[in-house]
Amino acid sequence: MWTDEDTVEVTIEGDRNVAVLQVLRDDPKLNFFYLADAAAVDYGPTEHFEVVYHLYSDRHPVWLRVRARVNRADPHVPSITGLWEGAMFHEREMYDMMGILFDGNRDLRRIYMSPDYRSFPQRKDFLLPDDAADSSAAGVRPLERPETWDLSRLSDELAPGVLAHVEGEK
Amino acid sequence: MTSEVKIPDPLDLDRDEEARLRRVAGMAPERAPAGEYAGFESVGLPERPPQTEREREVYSLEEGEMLVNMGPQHPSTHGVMRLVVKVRGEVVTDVDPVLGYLHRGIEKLCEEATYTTVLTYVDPMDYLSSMHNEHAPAIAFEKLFGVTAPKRAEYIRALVVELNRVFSHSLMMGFLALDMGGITPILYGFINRDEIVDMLSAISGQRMLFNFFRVGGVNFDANDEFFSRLGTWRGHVLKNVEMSERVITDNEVFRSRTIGMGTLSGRDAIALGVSGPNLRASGVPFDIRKAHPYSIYPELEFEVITQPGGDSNARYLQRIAEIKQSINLIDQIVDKMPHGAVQAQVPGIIRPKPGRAYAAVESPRGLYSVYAISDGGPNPYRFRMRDPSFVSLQAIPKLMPGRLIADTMAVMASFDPVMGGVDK
Amino acid sequence: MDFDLLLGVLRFLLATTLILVLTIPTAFVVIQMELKIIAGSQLRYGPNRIGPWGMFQSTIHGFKVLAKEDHIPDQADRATFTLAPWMVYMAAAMSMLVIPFAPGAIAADFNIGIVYFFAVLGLSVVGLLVAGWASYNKYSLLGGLRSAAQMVSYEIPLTLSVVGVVVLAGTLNFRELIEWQRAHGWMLIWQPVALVIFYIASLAEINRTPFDMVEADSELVAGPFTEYSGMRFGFFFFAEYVALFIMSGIMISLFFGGWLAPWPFPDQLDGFIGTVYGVLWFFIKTYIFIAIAVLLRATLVRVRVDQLMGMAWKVLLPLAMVNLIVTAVAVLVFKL
Repeated sequence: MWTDEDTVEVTIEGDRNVAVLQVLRDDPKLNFFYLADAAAVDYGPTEHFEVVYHLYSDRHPVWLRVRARVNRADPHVPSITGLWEGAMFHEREMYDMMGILFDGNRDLRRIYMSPDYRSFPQRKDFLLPDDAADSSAAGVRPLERPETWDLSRLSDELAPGVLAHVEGEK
Repeated sequence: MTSEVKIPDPLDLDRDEEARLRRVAGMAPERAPAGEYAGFESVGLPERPPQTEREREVYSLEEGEMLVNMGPQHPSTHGVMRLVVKVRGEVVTDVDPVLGYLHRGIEKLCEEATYTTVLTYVDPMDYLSSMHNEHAPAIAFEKLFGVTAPKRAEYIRALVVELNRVFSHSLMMGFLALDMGGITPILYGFINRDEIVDMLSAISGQRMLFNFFRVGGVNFDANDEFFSRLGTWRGHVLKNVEMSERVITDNEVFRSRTIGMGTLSGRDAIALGVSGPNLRASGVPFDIRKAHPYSIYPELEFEVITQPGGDSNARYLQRIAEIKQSINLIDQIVDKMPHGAVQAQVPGIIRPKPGRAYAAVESPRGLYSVYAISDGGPNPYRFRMRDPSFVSLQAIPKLMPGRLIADTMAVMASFDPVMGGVDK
Repeated sequence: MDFDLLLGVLRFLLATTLILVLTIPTAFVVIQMELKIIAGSQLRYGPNRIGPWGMFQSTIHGFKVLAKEDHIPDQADRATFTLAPWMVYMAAAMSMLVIPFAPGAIAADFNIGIVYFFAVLGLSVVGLLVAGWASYNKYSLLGGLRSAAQMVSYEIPLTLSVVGVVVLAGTLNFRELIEWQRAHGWMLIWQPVALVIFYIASLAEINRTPFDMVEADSELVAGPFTEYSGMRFGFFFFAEYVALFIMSGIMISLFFGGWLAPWPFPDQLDGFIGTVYGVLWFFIKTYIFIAIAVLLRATLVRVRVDQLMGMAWKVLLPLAMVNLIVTAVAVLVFKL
């Protein structure tokens, strides 16, 4: 696939990301000292993930893009918070949105969604809440499951017609 | 049936109902009792043991410590964010920001929208610098589409982007004073913003979320009303800036509350990913407009301004200096603006080439970048925005321990986060 | 029963009733001044719809506060919760008794007027502390403790600076103090340092910016007033502005000649005209200083609590003591 001219791309396997980024950062001729972005891409329900790092150096006029390939079935990647502390929030967001686990991250919890949320919204196979019944977060709340409803609490005086409606549905 | 219907007390109903539902669902019957992680309940987090090491660190209380919630509704104006602050008496020992109150799923939404629509979706991210929010995707998409914006369009883009920078920084000055109790400078900041926003509404039709950029140029050309307002504004803007500055900068109380507060060294700032005026106030001369120039910035003459110090006062002075720099840039842009079209001639149906593109701009808060992946279809395959406030917020838990509660908001205001960008 | 005694008691009752009744309009006027002056410094209009030039805005605020729901937290201690605003307000109202408006127009011309004033002022500290405790809210408690610390710390330089004035004038009576100033010139030329200390400490005493950590503790919640609503909060609110008026009035009485007119005008007139004349000048001077305090609020940012306490104990207190010693020595040496 085409990529833009002012970026140099490197594709690596996920578990080598710390080693590669460390060399890029520490080598004085390369000197990619600034982590501009850390993003995750999902290539499809049957494909792999990718964790993409963009780096800036004052010695080279290009952005460097490091694409680390991550297995979908077992999405573990070493965390780069040892190299750049500011990657913490990026990795939390990648975990929250894609479900990629970062080994060595001291604070891998959800950042945007609520802590008891059970899906990963930015995956390609995430179902929108309209398809809540099919999503992986379905049934977390008991009220979403009809078998948990206590019909003895319903009475015609409080809500006329409700009993007929509910029993009719069953 | 005319039997007495006893309306039960809602609290009892909820408690019994919850217990019953928990039983049916096979969950634990009651909430976990308050154990050593007793801090959770007092700040309204779900009662559960902490999941991560850092969470355990923050939410376990020693003798004399207390968790205080500076909760999503703030008297200060950065947006909805919750800071769980662990204090011992008056001194802050740890801070945990809880985000996500303004999360709108913009990235996912943009995957379902056409490229032009994406440019309208990104406006409300960092709503005080909408033009920058649009600039980065516009550049990235132009790379994918293979179109170049005409010169005049690039000049107009730079012009509105610098205007946006001016008013965003003016507001920051006001917010910083407001968070410390000064009620006047915010209104002076809004005077400045109002004039600029009137100008921008003359050119784009909108006062706040401008929807001005298009792939290949801008939407409307600069018209007479815009230039007339711009001229009037340029006549008195420096005087206005000096008026608002005079109220705060040499104010002894303000200086004693910002000098030496929240000092961030350049090395720490780079490690944390802080960018923009916050980074330059710590002495690091990193400005995307010079480091990786885009648009017409190679043709403009300006220097990268930095401040030594890295404290709140330095961040404040840095923004004032950048306002003056932006005014200078606006003068240069207006002088050099060529004639021509403002939108590139592209075929009606155009598809981007499949590929990846990255574009970064200098927003008033820092490095704002877009990583767009296209698969050749009408919608982007992946649209990722990196917001500077999001990353700068990580500096807060590093800077706050040891300071007083009152400084928390002051230091945060000096970083000038905007929650729209943080939460996307 | 002595007829004079009866007359005196009646006069006292009338004066105190008048004072109590007049505190509310005083608060209204001061609040209105604040709204308009702050609006002016922020380059906006301020209230301009209710009444000509928005004059009745604060009056309407007062009535609105009456109409709000009166809510007491479940677990708050009802008696002390109700007592706290009363205490703060009574402190303000009681201290109005000794304010020297004009030669014949002091409600209670005590011989120990100055001591009485500062004693009663301390009641507001207790009121705030009680408010913080009775609310059953840990933020209120912290705010109340913080406000108590602030007010107690600043009372010391406040009273010490006044002792210098008292030593010079030789009297604790407000009326005699002003007559001393009439004879010897306004106190500000005799005790400039005491004036500065008094002004700063008085701003801190009444919790005005830049010392309003108590109420504008906007980092957390509203301090000890969090749980108060309706007229209970109204008491605190009005008490603050009445206290501003009182402090300004006392300051001009101590340092700026009270009811005496400045140089080109005759000092003091006799009879009923003299009373009106004195009251007029008193009000002019008081409102000038209220306006200065309001402008300070519009302009300055808040001082942090540790800087606030540091200033009280490390700067103002030693300065006040030095001032006192120098004054005392000077009085002895020059037999003033």
